[in-house]
Amino acid sequence: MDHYKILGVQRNASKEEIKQAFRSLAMQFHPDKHADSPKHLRDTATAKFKQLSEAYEILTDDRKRADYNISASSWNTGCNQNHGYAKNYGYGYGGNYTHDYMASRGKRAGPSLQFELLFRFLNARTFVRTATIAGVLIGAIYLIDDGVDALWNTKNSGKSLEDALESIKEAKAVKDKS
Amino acid sequence: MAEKRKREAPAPAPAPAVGIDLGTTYSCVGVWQHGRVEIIANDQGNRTTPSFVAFTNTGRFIGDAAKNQVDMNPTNTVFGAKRLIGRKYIDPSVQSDIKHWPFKVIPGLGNKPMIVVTYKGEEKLFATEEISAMVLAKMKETAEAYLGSTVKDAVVTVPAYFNDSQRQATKDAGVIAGLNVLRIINEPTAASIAYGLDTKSESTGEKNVFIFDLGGGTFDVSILTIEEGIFEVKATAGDTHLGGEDFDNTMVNHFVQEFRRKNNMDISGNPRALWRLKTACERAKRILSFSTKTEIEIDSLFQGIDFYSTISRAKFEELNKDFFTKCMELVQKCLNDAKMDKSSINDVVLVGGSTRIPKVQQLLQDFFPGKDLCKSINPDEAVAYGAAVQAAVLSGGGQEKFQDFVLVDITPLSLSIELVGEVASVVVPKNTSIPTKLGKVFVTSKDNQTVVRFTVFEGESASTKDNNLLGSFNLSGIPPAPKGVEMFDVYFDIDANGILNVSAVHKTTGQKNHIIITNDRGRLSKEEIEKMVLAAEKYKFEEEMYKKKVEAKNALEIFAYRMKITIMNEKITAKLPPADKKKIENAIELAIQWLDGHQLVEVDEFEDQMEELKRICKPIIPKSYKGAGVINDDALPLGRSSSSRAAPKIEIVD
Repeated sequence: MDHYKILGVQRNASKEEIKQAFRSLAMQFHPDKHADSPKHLRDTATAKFKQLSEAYEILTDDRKRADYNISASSWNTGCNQNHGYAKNYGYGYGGNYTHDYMASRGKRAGPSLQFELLFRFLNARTFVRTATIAGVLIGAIYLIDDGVDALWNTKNSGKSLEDALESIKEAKAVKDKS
Repeated sequence: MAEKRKREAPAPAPAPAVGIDLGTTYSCVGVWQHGRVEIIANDQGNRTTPSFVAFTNTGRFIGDAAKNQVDMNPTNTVFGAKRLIGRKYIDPSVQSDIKHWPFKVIPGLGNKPMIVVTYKGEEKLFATEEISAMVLAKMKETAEAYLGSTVKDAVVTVPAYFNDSQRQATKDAGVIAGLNVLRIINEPTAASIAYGLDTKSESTGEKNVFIFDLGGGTFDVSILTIEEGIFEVKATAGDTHLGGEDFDNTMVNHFVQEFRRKNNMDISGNPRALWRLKTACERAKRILSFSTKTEIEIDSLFQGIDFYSTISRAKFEELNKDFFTKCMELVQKCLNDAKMDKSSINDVVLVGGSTRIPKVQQLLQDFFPGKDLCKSINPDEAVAYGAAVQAAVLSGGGQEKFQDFVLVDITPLSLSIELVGEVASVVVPKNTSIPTKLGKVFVTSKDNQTVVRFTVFEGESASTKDNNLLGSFNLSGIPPAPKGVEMFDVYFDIDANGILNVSAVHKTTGQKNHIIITNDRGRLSKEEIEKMVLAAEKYKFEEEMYKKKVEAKNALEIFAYRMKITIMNEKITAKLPPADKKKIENAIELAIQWLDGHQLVEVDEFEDQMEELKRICKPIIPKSYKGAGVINDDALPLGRSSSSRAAPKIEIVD
């Protein structure tokens, strides 16, 4: 999808031109203008309006427009929703939860309380990342050592979780030094 | 019989769609007719109706009738439901509101706040949606009485800053009230339509308009650009819990303390005293908008002690200065979001009753130097006005008139997917024009991950735990691979109603899953709504029955007393044999006695009594009466009639 084409403007169009183009097309394609039209016409108009809205959103934001210009010229893939992709790729992990974790989250009556808590702890916040870097071993040892306390604290106060994470970071720092 | 007729009669010519401003403290309904908007007055002749619902031993009252009886029945009169709708019981704002309300709120299933009242001697639980539905039904009735036909379609307004669950709950309330909600639109946007149409003729070129909407319970600011019929919302900000009620409450707190100081007594546990104080404060607040000082006088406020005090405008302003500051912060925030300088604003439009407060106007005037604050539109009616226009546009009424009118609204809150560590990754930024479809790519975060969970949030915080959970879904069957390899296209698709559909597609396998965010936990299920619709119909039916009883009783009463006067008239009774006269007199006396002993029996019994009395009194019924069809019709001059509009207004309060 070429956002410029969608709006029918030149690549060097000014913001004012983009705005005017969006408005006149909005008048044509906004679904409300098709309240009485047959369904297929309304659906086509709606789909078109969504493209307009996306193009407008991107081309009127300087940073997004620049990103788009770069990605559009270098990739030429025609799939430009991922203008934020390059940045996302480094750290943008989508839902990391394992199946077990989800089950325990969805139904509170999980397999066993300890099991559930362990998973919650493991998945909580940045722990997963930190633990991966620090090495699962250290984390696991830590957990087992302080298991009872950590579980108790996790359940009873949010702060202790923070503390635990701090300890992990420290542990990691110690390991890095050595 | 009358009921049967009522059911058969209204079918032709469907009524036009109406616009309803469902407010925290007052509601308003308008309709587009004959090329203009008509704001419809209720049965009391008021153009706004209090959003109050009262439950008593005899029945249910909505609107003015409910508000007028609060101090007699504070614990069973519900108001401010808009402050609860779509919220959780544990929400801090709900907790603080409960402290100010005389009625009881308890946590229900899924932490939904439930309102507890005693209705006809029984304890009843109502969801917030049901209470709002009752107010909406009242507005629907008001419109129906005016239009003379059944209203089906409506546009209902919500604060721009309402989140998804609050919007959905409002929509559910519409369904329970028997309305087909064409669209939920934002209040400031609606107000801008009223303003835009108002100034259409005199303006050319693009105009940036700042809408400042401070109502009874909510505060919204929006920036729009209006150009030849195109209304484009640029940014919106607000607080769904800031308004006139809060100003009243700070005054109430102030006077509660004063009472404690003066009398060493705490009235905060007494709902009736608090309500009377609140009413006095509300009145004082209004007076302070045009006077610099006012008195509060309440006789026998608590344990026989009278309360007299004064409050100055300066004191009122000081008590509420935090609220006013908050308002101005949001004004600035909205400008920032719109990436606009305040100098580029052409007009500042005031909407909502609380914009009458001089301090609010002064702060705005100082903020926008040299700009006139536009007060040409009615601050109480502008929202309903705009909603009525939008209703006409969406229902196709008045197409030519709206040929070059289109409203492009935006999402008030950012929509995001949760990443590892409760991080919100925004897919649809706030203030994006809707309808829209935006996408983003996500990757797995673990080695050999086979299931991915997509959790959708709305809100501005970078951490999802401070945002509002909308829903989640899984995508399974992902082939094992190192983390970061498997990719997913996630699309957020928002229609013109703001209904969000989130879909995710696994890039390599094409596996797909999606959710339509309409059934978040805490929201009513389809079955619950159906049950509530039935309950609402039942309440309405009971109310109608009650009304009919009262009407039948009144008809009989009026007829009996009328006959009593007639029989005393020598001119009429001159020709009557004395025996007949005696018989009639007896019958009248009997009927009056019977009425005393039978205040509210079934309608049939009243009607039987009426028939009997009519039969006996036939010889003395004057011709003019006959002309009105007393004998063979049930339409008495003041009695029961087939049109509810012509029916007498009977309000029996506790």
